[in-house]
Amino acid sequence: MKALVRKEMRENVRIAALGLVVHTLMLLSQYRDYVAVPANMSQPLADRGIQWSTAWFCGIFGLVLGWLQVHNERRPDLWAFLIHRPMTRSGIFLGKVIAGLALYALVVGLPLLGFIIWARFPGHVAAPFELAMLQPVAAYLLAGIPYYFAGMLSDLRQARWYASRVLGVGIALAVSLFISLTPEFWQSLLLILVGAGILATAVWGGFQSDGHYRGQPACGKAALTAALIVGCQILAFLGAVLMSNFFLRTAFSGTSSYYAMTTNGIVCKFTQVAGRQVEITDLEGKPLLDQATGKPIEQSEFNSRLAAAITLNVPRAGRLDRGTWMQRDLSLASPWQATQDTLWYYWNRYGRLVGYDVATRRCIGSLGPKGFAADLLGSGDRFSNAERPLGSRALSTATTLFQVDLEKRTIRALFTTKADNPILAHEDVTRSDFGGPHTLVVTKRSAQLLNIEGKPIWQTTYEPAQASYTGFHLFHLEPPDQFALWISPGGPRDEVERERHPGHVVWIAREQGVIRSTDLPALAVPHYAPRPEDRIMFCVMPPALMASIAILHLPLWPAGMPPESLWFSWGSSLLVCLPIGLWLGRRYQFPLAALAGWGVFLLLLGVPGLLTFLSVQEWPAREPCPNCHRPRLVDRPRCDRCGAEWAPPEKTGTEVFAPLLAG
Amino acid sequence: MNLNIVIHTGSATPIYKQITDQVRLAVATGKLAVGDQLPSVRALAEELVINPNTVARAYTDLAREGLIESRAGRGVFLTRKRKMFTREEGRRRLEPLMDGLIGEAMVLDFTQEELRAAFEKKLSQCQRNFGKGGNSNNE
Amino acid sequence: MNEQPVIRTQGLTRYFGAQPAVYELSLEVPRGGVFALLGRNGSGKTTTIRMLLGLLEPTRGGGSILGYDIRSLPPEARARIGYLTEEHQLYGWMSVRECGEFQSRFFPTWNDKIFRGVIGHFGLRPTAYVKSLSRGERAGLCLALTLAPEPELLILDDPAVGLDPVARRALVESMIYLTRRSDRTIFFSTHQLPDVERVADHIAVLDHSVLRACCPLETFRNSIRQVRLRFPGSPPALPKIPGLLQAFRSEGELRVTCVHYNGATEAALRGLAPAQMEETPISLEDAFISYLGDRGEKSFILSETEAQP
Repeated sequence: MKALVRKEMRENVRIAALGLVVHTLMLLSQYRDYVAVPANMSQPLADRGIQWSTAWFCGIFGLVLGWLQVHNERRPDLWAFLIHRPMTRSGIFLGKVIAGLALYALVVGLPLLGFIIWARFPGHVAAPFELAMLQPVAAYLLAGIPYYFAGMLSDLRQARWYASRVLGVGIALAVSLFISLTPEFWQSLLLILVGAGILATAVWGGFQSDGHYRGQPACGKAALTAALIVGCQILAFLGAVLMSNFFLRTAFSGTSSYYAMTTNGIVCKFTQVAGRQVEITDLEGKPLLDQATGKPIEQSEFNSRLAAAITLNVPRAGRLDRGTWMQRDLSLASPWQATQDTLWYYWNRYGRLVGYDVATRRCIGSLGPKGFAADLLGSGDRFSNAERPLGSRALSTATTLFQVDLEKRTIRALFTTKADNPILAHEDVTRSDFGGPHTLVVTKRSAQLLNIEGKPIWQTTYEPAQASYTGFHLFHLEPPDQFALWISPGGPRDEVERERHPGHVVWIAREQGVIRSTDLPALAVPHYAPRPEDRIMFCVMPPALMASIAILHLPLWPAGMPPESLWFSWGSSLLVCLPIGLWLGRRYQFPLAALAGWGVFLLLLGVPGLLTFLSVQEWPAREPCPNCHRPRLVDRPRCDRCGAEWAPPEKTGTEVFAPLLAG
Repeated sequence: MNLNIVIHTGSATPIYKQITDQVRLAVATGKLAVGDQLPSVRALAEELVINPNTVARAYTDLAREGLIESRAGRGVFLTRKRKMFTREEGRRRLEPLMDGLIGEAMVLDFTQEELRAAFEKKLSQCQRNFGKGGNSNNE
Repeated sequence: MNEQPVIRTQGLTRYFGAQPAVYELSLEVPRGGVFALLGRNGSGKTTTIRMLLGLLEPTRGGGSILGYDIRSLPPEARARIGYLTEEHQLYGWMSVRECGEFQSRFFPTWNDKIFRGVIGHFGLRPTAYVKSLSRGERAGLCLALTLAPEPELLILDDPAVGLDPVARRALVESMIYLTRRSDRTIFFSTHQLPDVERVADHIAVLDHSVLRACCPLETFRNSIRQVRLRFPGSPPALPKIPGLLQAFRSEGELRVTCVHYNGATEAALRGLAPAQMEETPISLEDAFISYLGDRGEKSFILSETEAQP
């Protein structure tokens, strides 16, 4: 085993050296980009640059290395030389993988390690660092491993058409995509493990049978099938998209409607019906007429009369709902503001503003509610990680809104509430029509607009009628000192909510306070009729995928997938894929268990399943039976209809057979 | 020993037969005398670069003819020729060889006298190997 | 002693697409001795050898090698079998010595003296890189790597292809050297009939994926006879003779090559009333060529219309 590992490492040392050089150059360019601008407010270990370079490099290098390791023995005689030794094929596979992953770790890890050492050296990087910030890089690093096995698989498989060899990369691509979409880090690791496991098992199975499907153990066959499914799905999608793009080009149809606020404070409703013009009506449904002409107003002309909102999102149920773990890791510390000589960041962990000196690149202290401290903790005082805009001049604790002066490094309290009415969010208002900087502050039970000294210009209480009402939109209306506050569902998952409960609007005047308020009537759920292109897409989406979309509530279609998508999906698998599979299975005499298994597989996985089935199966030839003259498979010793064996070779009368003498 | 066996592949004669023929010829021309040692099966096989079984077969045939015998532990030796064939059989074996000799002489334009003279000369050269304690059944 | 054959196949068949490369091959190779597998190009020799070594899955049928099922050869079987491939492919970046070191780590019975001996015999420098070696030198290196573990069964797939005469002779000498041990068996496929004549005990002949002969070499040789019939005028038409391989017809002469020449065949030929009929000796190469060549009648004399300019 050791000899094999050493030979593998020696054999691939050139590609490893090349990879090392390329990776080092990529990181060097990151380094140069950072060092070029002293006032650069980014953490090189956590920003987009290193994530992209790691993701791309690890994927491509893994793919190339895996492919090369198998390609080195591409010639059948050299493969025979490798296999014909007193070592199990699994042992040979393991030897290759150990060497390959070791090289991968070196090529990917060494430059990164150097980069990390540089970045962590005190005085080099003027930005906060937490170990969790390295999670995205770690994830992308590990996500290269499925590519490694996919590369091995692509050259190992004896496939008729070369394109089908590359199908295994589909799983690696899916893993790369989905690790940035999962809510938790461990889920991404699990995805990587599953993806790598499937591909590794498929490669192991290929080693057992020299790349053929038939001679493999069952788990190898299953893994290979699973590995190709994702690639086939991607292929099916691409085919559907290409077909639609070339042959059909239908406009999107359906109805949708939404509300908008004019500068006069009137809420109007826009309705779009397929193919027709946008209808603009008021809340009662009466079309808005142009004052001058008396005809319904055109949308283009009307857009100029719409009021722009200042939007603020309140965290749901007090928790920061920042989506995926990757988004969270990217915002562990956010660049805040740069003064002449200091770079300020907001560090979630300490809940304070942390400053780094531009010249010395070291931390000079932090600002908390109790003021400036020379270290990171201060006296334990911290701001709440409430929703607030980046770079704002204000920060809040639960009960107090502070104004921050970064030049003087001082804090001033602006606004205070009681403990039972904590501050949930605030937003800077700096638009010119407001006449000076203001701050919109939303607490648990009230919303208020403060001026620069912290005095409320107006204040209104509210009880969110729905838990989903987390979006606050402030409008400054044309009539002087009049405002409108529109409270609506704000989260990304709340599209349906937005239709059912469009929100609550409060009109406020500076002197009088609340003038009036109203709930907006529910809108009709938007209806998008599927076009022929969509129908083609439904056909290539297997029922299993449709079920996953439903279970995971993926927002792929407004208001959920239309029911006819199910018909098309099931239809294509029941009426096309399943019969083809069953016919082929009968023709090639699959055992009953295999026939049943593939039947279920094709039923659930539709078109991609059929593509996988066709690219994985090897079809033996058929010849007429010497006895009953009906076609029979050449790999069965007995005819399945008449039970006859195969005819022995024809005798020509020139055979010479004689007993052999033992040596 | 001055036995020089040469074999040719691609000949109409099998290799084992080439060996036996050459041994017999060596005996006939006096290159080999009774009591001379022949190389062992393995030694001859490796010298001629052929399968030892072929050499073994040749030696077996020669032994069956009574030309050689294998002495345990010491090797293969030429032995007194014991009568293995009847006169009739011996004549039958000699016939085609005589045909060949006469035919070749005619092609080379030898006269009968020239051929007879050459034959007598050869016979006298091989005098010592003929009929020495061999056939007890004289015609 | 009832010896198990070292190689046994039963109905071994392999299809490539719709064509059989090997069809219903059943043979047994006894222990000890040299077994040559002959056949024209594309008759299925390499396919057979690949199947025997578990490198190609048979379409149907099976076999055993050293008692192990060929479909699942365990590592201990591979330790006892030496395999020399046709292409003599090795890792180009290794040096001769590194190849030896690499192989020796895997085989517990590695005999370095043999390795160095064969290397020296072929005149290879230990520091030479494989990619700089000629075909014959690579063959020598592969042979050294195969012989050094002292395998019980040596399987060679067309080992002499592309070798110069000196290298070929060295190869044959190595094979004879191996026969020193009576429990060692050599199984090789080749086109080199002179080498077959030198070293083979038994042969098997594959003809278009089918086994047509499996016997000791001498039996094969003796089975094929050539008879020359002389006629005063033009030779008559040939009747159907069982075992007829080829018949050459020229002016006044008919040369017939056939298998299993017996009394019935002789009587059938005499029935043509030839002026003269004699059996002519035939070399192994000619016998082999007529065995595997096109069957039937051939003529050397062009017809009159063709001969005219």
